[in-house]
Amino acid sequence: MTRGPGIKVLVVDDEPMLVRSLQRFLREGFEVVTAGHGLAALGVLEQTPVDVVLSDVRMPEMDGPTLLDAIRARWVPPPPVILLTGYADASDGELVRRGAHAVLGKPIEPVVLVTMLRQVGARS
Amino acid sequence: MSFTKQFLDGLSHEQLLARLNLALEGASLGIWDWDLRDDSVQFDRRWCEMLGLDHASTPMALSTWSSRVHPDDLDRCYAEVKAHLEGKTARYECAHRMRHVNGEWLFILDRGRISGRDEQGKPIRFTGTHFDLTASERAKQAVARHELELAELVANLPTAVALLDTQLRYVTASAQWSAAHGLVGVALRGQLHEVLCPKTSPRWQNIFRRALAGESQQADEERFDDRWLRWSAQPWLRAGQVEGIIVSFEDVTDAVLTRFAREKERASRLEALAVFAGGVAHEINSPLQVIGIEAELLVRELSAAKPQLADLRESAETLATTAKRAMSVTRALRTLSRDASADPLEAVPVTGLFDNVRALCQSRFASANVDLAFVDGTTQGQVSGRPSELLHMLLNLVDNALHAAKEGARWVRLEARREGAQVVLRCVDGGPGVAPENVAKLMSPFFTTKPQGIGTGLGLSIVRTLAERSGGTFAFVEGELHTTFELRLPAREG
Repeated sequence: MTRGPGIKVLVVDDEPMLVRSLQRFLREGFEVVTAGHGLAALGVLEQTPVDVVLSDVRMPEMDGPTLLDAIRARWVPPPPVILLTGYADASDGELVRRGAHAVLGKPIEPVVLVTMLRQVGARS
Repeated sequence: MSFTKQFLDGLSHEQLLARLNLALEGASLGIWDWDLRDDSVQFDRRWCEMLGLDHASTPMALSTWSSRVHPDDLDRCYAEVKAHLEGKTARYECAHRMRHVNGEWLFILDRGRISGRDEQGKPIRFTGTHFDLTASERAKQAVARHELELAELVANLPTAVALLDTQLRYVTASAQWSAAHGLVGVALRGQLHEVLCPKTSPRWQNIFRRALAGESQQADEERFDDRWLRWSAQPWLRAGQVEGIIVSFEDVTDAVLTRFAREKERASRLEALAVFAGGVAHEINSPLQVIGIEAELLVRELSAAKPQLADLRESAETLATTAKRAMSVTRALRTLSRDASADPLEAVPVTGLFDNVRALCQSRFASANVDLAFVDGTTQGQVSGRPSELLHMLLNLVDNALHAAKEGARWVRLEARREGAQVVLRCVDGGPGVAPENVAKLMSPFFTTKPQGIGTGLGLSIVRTLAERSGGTFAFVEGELHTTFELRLPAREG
């Protein structure tokens, strides 16, 4: 995968306000591209390889887990996928087994999120 | 010759008189001796004392007697005297009231017969006794009164009660019992229960049998066919022996059904809370995530060498909007959690109601990719109801519609319009519609077409219960292009 000036992050969430906040927050040190749901994310990835995907779990059109599977089926090696969920689901462990790098619960400390993105992005 | 005759013959005249006095004294008898020729009457001492009269100063005349006889009884007395004098009766006998000196009325048993005649055979003497019946008469009256009171008490008991003997023959029963068994106006005493009520259920027969065997039984609520009864059946014991059984019951159907409805409604509300809780967690967590990030952005921007005003403003505005959204969710949640059944009806704005539905449903609909639209055609309309019940109703409808919309066109629309004195709320969905055979069953509790584990099927029946409680109606609207449920509630003027 080609590397840009910073770490390239794809933010996928159906909440425009959260996408906007993350985009502004990650402006420093990251290059951010966004998508409103899984299907749109796949479209973005076809055009722009990224270092890490940060995706919501429940979304219309295509949800996070489906996106995870699609990414892992389409790219070798796949970019690491971090899932961010607002729901207390018992399926977090299952998603990690399916290949998610991590499943984080909303709300997460912005600093923690940045640290993780940096570590994961640098490795990939 | 009898022993008595021998004994009496051996006594002197004085001895005989003394014996007679003793007998009269013991029997509390007073003697009167009436001379029909001049209406003089010899009353003895006991006769006078019975009435509280002083023997020495009492006039020995018929008027002494007649003036003390109760006026209502006097004619009857004379009629009996006449009948005897005319030879129609073997003796004179008449129970009548007489006034004691202290003003009390005594019950006197008056008995006598002709005791002397002239040469022509005409009666000239009439002798008899007075016996004071007052005590026994009073006792008799008291017993009769008590019997009547007891009978009235039993008849008017607010529950169905019956006393049955060991053969299950009626001793007595309350009016409610008679009414419950269709026996109004039937004389029950002595009748066999199985004859009067041949359709007595095996359950009751069993209860009767066990009570007869000495067992005390009762139940606070037991279902007998379509009614709920509180009942008890006890052995009727006398000196340790079972004389029969005492059975009582009360129809508590209304109370039980009311409670069931309340429990059902509560279960449904908790279910709605549980259903929406997942969405609510998301609804709260997402805003919190944004708030956290924006707060960091603010700090970062303010610490910068040259803080950008536009960035600061955007963060502040986002914070305000997001906090508002989180607050609307908790507000809606609080509204829904409240058990408001005892609260008075209030004026609830349609907009506020729709805001609450939106707050709780938004993310559920978004993640299910179903569009949720609100069309408020009332201009600042208000509904009469309780906020939590109204929200509960709409959530049930909207959730129902969401499940349907997932199977068809993915949209749900909540509409409000004013129609006369009512606000009409409609929930329309793009789902495949209700199968004709299911229309009639829609409102029945526990009817559901959803897969097992999703919903209890209580939703629509609860909506109807709540609508009716608010003075409204709830119905499935047939013949519409799309599945439409309609709530009509009393409007309130702002």
